[in-house]
Amino acid sequence: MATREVFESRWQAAALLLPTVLVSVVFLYVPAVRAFELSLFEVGFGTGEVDFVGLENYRALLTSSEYHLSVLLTVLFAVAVVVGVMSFSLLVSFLIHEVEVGKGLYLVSAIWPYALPPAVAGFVFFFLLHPDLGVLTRAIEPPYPALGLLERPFEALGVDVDVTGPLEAVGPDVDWFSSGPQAFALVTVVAIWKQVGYNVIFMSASMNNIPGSLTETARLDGVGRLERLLRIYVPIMSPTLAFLAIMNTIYAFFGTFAFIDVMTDGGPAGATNILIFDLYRDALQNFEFGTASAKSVVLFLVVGVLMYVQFRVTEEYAYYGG
Amino acid sequence: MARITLENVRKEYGDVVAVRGIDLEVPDGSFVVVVGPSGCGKSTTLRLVAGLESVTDGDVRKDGESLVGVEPKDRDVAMVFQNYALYPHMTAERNMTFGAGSATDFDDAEIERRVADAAELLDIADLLDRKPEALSGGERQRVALGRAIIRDPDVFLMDEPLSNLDAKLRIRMRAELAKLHEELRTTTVYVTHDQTEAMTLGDEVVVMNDGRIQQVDSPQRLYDYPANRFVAEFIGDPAMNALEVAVESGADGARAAHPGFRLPLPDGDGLDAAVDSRAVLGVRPEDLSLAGADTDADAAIEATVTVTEPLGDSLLLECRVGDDRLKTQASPRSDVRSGDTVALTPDPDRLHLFDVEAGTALYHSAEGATAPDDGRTTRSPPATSEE
Amino acid sequence: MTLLETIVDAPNRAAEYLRGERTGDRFARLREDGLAVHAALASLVLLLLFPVLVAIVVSTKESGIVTGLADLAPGGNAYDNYYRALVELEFYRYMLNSLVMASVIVVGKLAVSLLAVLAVVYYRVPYKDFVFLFILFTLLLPVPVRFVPLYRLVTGLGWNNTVFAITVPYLASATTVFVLRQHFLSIPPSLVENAKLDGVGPLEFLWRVLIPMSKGILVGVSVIIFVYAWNQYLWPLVIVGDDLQVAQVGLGRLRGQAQAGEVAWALTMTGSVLTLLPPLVLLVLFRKPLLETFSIQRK
Repeated sequence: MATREVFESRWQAAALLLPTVLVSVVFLYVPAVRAFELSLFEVGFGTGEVDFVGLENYRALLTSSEYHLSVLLTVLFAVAVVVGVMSFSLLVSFLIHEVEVGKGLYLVSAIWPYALPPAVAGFVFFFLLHPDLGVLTRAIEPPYPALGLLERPFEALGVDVDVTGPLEAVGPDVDWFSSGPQAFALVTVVAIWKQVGYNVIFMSASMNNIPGSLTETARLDGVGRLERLLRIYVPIMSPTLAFLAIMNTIYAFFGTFAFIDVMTDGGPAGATNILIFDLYRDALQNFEFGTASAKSVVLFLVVGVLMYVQFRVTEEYAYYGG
Repeated sequence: MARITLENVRKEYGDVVAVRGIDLEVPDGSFVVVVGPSGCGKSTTLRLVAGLESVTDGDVRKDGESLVGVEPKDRDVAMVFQNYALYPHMTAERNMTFGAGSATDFDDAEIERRVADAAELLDIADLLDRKPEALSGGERQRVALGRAIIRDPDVFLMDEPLSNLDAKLRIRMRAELAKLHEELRTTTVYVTHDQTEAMTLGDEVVVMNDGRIQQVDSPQRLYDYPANRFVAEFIGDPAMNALEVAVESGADGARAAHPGFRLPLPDGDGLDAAVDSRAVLGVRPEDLSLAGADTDADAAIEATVTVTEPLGDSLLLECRVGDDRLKTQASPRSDVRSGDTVALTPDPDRLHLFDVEAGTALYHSAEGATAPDDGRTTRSPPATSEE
Repeated sequence: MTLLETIVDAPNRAAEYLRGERTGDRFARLREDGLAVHAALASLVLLLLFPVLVAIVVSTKESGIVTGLADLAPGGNAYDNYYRALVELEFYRYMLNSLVMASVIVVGKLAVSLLAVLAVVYYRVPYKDFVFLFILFTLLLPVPVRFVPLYRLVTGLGWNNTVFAITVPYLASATTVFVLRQHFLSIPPSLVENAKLDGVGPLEFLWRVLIPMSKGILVGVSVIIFVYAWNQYLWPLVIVGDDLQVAQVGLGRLRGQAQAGEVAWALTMTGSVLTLLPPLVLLVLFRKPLLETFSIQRK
């Protein structure tokens, strides 16, 4: 039986593992355990004095409607981000898979957001869609002078037709500084944009691994493009898709702080106050270390449970052949 | 140069027993081939000698001194692997020299000289600057051999070194290995699953199965006097036919009785003991011939041909005798079709009887089974069932 | 052609396509793919690129004059903007800080992880698998989960406002250990066995054999770590002050420091482009090893 494990010195192995284990324990495990411990105390503002309050912090969270809203928002946000980014990326990956000319350039142009720093994404969109000064804002909001051109031919015929009026009446007013839903939608779009690159990397690789004979068989059988994607490719890619669903969920929960901080500051009226931002505010703006720690523990549990559920679900449905 | 001795060597991995207590003597300067199906423990045995695995029980000795507990690098052995184990980022020359410093006492100049010698011996002098990816399989294996040679070890250990090469190259490298051994005369233990390789290369061949040694003998004697059914069927291609028969005695001597035939058995050691019991008759396909019209029907096997396979140099016939199957080789352009009934006469000097249960050889019709020509005794431990 | 070759070869293929003999020929190849597919793909990709293209254009204009699509012609102010952002408003400091942080994390993480993986893959010692799981489990413990205690711990160590604070806590890495382990497991065992027979020690084997053999993967992993480190926001924001602050957080200060009263879009976009540049350049330059490494991670 050939084996790689040819070295047997225990102290050498321990020495090699020491740096990683030490950093893991000191900066990861101990703080995580301390977070749990701290969540049972109330920490005095400024004084740093601690009072044991048992589960009081958790009880407070259970009854706080503000916190409930934050949980609900975060779940909605995560679902929107995961579904949004995965459908968009699947479409892009599939179209790239379907072409021969320019394949490489398309791929590089779709993958690059992987390198995009979140704060940059936030600032760029802040600028594009600023309610007063945004580059796109004027284009989205009425009036639409370009539509006047549509009326010209009718005018020439002497018929009075108003195309602009009705459209401008329903035209949106970009106002995410005060509209909660708009702010939520904006943050979601930015979060999706940033994550497309990562998804396309994995989806394209996975799609590329599908045997060409399957595609040819489907073509011979007259299976349409969309059907081929949904009925053949997606099931074969399911292990990759399951992996991405998990990574995207973690991203939505933990990797999106910068967008909120740069763009909405959790507002308006808490409409984008997702859990990670809420936690940050409690800890470093309100200095409620006890409550913040309780929120950390909740966050850990939520993500732990979510990942467990996803693992189980995908284990059951994923096709593991490819 | 060295003599390797294995004494009651056992190797267990948890509940799995890979080697079940083997004794083996590898004489100084000899080329010993260990052959057997995959999982038989042959590679493990080699690795126990190398020191890559430690024995669970028993002793491995080199020139009488126990190697148990001795670090691999201090055993003065060199190994050649099936996948060559060349470092892909190093040139052929660097592959040969890397580690030579720690493995030997040679200084740099000595190593350089040895590389040049080995390169010439192996005809790879032009390839020394190339990296493995720029070498063919055969060239890679030469470099791997060169790496072993420049260490001037007491023992070469080769683990299926030719198995990754294509058939033609394998045959060529086989001849070169034999020549190399002629020149260097370094004690070599060579592991393979390929019985042809074992037969052509080994001074002595060790047949292993299921963690045990089945037989140790010279190639020809393995073929002529297999110690049990496993060896009989493992050595030789196509494999020896095995038909269960009753051994009967009659006025004209012993006969092997089968619903399809009653073959006379020439006198020989062990035959008397086998009389009046059931046994397995072994006869190699190449020892059966199509009988002419004038043959004594009494000494022939009547068989129905079921499949004919033209191999070019011969015609392989698959036949049915009673409820048993039988293979035979006929001359290539024989006019035999499936469905034909043929009479087959075995070479009377090439018949074997084996114990029905244990598979041990009871009788070989040829003389000489107990008087080996090379003076070594034939060991025949009881056979175990095939895995 | 594999996906990897397609991407790596993209510039050559594009040039080759454009050199194609006749225009009609090129068009025919486009037609073969389906014009609608190309149109859809081009608009989707443009959608992805559009925000950054706008940012680049705006970074070449004078402050505060872009208020509509019509203004999206490149301006002649590029040099002024970049000079002002980098030098006058000292954005170079943030860039430098990010660079130091990311580089230290890349080197440190690789070193620490390589040692750990050497033990995990090449040593036969008890509890090894347990230690491996112990390292993997840290995946579930991102900064937010241990936010407050980590803050107090680092403050307690007196590391506030030091490079240690933004590097050391990142040195243990489940993903790096995992990817390297997968890679080492794909190297035939006979290599290490041969080294063992020669008496080559573990560290020499790591340094002379494993690392040179794994250049591609190590570059790929380095790019992944660099992008990850460069894109850290929350932790640097809270643990270090202005003089050690990183580029992403510095962007906000750039906005604040720009002309009072006027929203200095051009300068903010200039900073954004600057911040995006290092990871983007690495991605484009090292796309091959990067994608190879990702293909390991998926397994």
